[in-house]
Amino acid sequence: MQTTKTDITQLAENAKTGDPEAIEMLVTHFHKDIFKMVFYRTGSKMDAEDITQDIFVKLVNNIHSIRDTSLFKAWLYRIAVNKVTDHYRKKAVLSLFVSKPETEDAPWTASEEKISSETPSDALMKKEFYTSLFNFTKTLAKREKEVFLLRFIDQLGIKEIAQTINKNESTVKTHLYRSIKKFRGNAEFRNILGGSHES
Amino acid sequence: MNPNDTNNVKDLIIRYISERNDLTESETDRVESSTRNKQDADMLQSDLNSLSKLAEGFSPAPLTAIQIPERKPLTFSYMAPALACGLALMFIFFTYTLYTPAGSSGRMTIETVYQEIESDERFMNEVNALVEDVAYSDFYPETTAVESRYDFSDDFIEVIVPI
Repeated sequence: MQTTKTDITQLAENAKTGDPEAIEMLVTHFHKDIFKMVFYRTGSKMDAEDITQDIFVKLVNNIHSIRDTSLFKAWLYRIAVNKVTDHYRKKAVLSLFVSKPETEDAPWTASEEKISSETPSDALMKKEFYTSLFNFTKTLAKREKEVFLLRFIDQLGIKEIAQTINKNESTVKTHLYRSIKKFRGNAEFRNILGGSHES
Repeated sequence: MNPNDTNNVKDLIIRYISERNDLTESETDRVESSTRNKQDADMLQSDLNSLSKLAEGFSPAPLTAIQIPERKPLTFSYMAPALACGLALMFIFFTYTLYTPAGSSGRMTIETVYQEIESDERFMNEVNALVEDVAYSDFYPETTAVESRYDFSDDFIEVIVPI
């Protein structure tokens, strides 16, 4: 069943008062989306599992402090964006003590992602997609990357992105414009995407 | 075609994708009325849609369920000790503020200082001794090593306070 924005707001309202059923429903509803959001930023399933768990723990512990429950989705994504930033911050600190690998590959190439039911061509296509996306996002500035991923991977609207990253809508549009301009000029990545939707 | 115009059209196509609602009617018309511009815009939009679709399809499913922690409710039993401490501190503060006479400690005016000095008999005796003519008794020159050849009154003062 499709859950509407009104339902989410109502669930968030109930969760705010400590209703465990509402909390569980919200967690179930957003689990996959938040996991996907984290996965495409970390490139690791294991990290995505851990960070997603942390995000929902934070949700449960802080839901009482949410001011406007109609902005629940943006509030949750803001927690997620901050958790991913924390993850990279920790990684940067740890990297001071651990030697770095020689080459910087797309994180998904070293991923533990192996599904036995997957055909080799599917696996290859997936790997190609991950690598191209990773290479493309490397060409974007930090804020452009965040806005681009929130818009096209997480499929948030302009208003929701503005609330998530705490910027005004015109700033979001500017970053989005720049990132689309770079996407438009990236023929290699567009070929992979174009090939997939034509088939 | 003017190269500036080509760039303008390219920008317009991107804006047509990213902020379509903000375009003016003529700008929208400029993209939609030209077959080539419309085709460009549609292709770009199609690639972006494809990106969203592939990202959705290629995203692995989470394997572990979320362990929801038990939330500590903000009930009276949890808050009671903190509330009690807060109330006790407030009571002490207000009692101290209300029952301490104003000006008895921190706010000491010149008048109250004078009153206190005046009411201190021992202190006033000392003051009186100082202001009287015989204030400096005989032992004073000894203690201050002033030679006794000085006449106590005028000579002494000239030594102490040279004119």
